[in-house]
Amino acid sequence: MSEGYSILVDTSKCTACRGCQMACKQWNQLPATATKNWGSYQNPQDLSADTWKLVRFADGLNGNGKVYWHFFTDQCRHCLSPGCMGAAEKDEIVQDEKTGAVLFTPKTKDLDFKATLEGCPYNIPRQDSKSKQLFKCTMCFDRISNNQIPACVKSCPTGTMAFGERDKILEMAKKRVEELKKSHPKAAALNAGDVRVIFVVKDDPKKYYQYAAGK
Amino acid sequence: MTRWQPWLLEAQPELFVEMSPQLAGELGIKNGDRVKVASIRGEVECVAMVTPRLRPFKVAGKVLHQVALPFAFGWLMPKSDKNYSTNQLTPGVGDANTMCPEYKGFMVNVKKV
Repeated sequence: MSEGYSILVDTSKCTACRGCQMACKQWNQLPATATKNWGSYQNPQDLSADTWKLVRFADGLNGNGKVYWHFFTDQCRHCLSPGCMGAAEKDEIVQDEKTGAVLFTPKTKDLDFKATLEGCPYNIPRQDSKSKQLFKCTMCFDRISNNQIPACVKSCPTGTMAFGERDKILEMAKKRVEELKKSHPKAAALNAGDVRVIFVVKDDPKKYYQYAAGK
Repeated sequence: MTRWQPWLLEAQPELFVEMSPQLAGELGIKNGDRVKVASIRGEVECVAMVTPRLRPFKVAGKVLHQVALPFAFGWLMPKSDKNYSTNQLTPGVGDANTMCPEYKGFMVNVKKV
């Protein structure tokens, strides 16, 4: 399995239940932060050192006057060629050979956060203000190394998320996009060739989130 | 029930009212503003969510606005004297035959705080 693992996120099936967001918090025992309603269902407002998976909401009117409400379950893409590693010198950031998971180690506290963040096309890495360490999704490395699927995938009730060997996930993504194209000509699998976490969308990715398809 | 769970509280922290951009424009309300929603039975304070998902109706030639509030949002957590619940607004009337309560449709007034 030299190709490693991949995660498929078929946003066309997502109901924004936030099960994935919760499961990530629970598995990684991340603290809840104090939030206010800022005018959206999206909370916390952004990824942080304590929030590694966030459901982003975007509503608006299409050109034909119809309403859209897109849900984008943002997380680290675990790129094949991680841009975040560009600013790393030694082994602050590690890419696991077997699974392909890109992992931030505690040594990330010595990295230039700004440079690391700028290297990421998807606006993912976040810094803990106290320890200065960088945090993001780990692809549940501890789970996948023990024959379990990531917590978010496990919790998803609609089948939006799937986890498996990369070639199988790529095949699933391709099939799903073909199916969606019949009713949604803009359907696409975002950056499927560059990332391990592949988002399938049925509309212009910028409508979901500014960095959904990268910078 | 769920308001005691910190991760759930983080994801949906407080009461909100969804309204159309048209109504928000008439009342001078921006997305995220604190507003007061009042019915004949009570008044709550909450956050306005201005969204195109709600649209004004045209009924018998008049424009009718609809707002939407979530139910059964408890007021115990987070600990604050500014916690409100839609249940403070709802009418205690029931269908004469089934005694099913009519909680879901009633008149309210909305104004910016």
